[in-house]
Amino acid sequence: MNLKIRTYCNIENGVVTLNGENLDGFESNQNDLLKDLYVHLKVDYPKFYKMDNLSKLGLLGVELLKSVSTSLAQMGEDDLGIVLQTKYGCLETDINHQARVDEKSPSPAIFVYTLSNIVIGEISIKNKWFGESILFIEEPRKLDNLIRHATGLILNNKAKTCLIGCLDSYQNQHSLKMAIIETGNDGPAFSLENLADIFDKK
Amino acid sequence: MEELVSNLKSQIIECLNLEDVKPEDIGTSDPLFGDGLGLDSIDALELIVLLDQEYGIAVADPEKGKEIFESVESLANYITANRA
Repeated sequence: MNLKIRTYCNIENGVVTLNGENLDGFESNQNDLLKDLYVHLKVDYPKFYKMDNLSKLGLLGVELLKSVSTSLAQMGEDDLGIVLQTKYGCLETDINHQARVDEKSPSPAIFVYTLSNIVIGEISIKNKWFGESILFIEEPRKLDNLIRHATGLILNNKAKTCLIGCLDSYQNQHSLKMAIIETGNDGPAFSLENLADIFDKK
Repeated sequence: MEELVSNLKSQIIECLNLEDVKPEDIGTSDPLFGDGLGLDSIDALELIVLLDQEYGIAVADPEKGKEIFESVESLANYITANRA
């Protein structure tokens, strides 16, 4: 099967790129990056403001990809597999939750994000995608895990397309690499070498 | 009562992270859930915490929650009636 990397985006050190190019007309500093990107992409989803930063970051990565991927924008609800990796997961929310417990009493709105794979849940709810998904919490990053699982989902007809990526948000440092994997002839082959090249492109 | 209503609107916005919503956007008798501000079940829990921490009032009977949190007006009435 001819699997290709069709569309990809990166957010690193305050710089946002889409298919290797800086996002047109977007400027921000690291402190306001998530809100600025939400406004720039004209996403209308008030729940965004209630999410933890990891979920905001994941949701914005998907919105970036959707802005250029017609297949993603028109995806059937069971057709997309999601395979993501994170180093910190919801650590920041865990710390915030503990601080609230120590300070006065727990906040239900913070507590609900003390689970790392909520980021996939928020992406799925926003886009009405209900296919297979998995989140790896690991360090160091293992791109071969992403490749193996995404390939398996498509080869076993569990998904027609896969959203893969690595994302972390901790102490206002946001890092995201995301790509859409599909069968076809266009785009780089879905290989470890190509994925590392795309994800780590400066 | 007017001051309490005004404070409640600001506290709801801050507590629930209602970005882009101003106190004047919230009608005093508008429903908070459903078609009104569109709050959800987690927001309801946050409002219970708000009531406890800011006004020292515990909602002892969960069955009354729907009535208490129907609007800012009903919330203000409940606080006025139960505040020490």
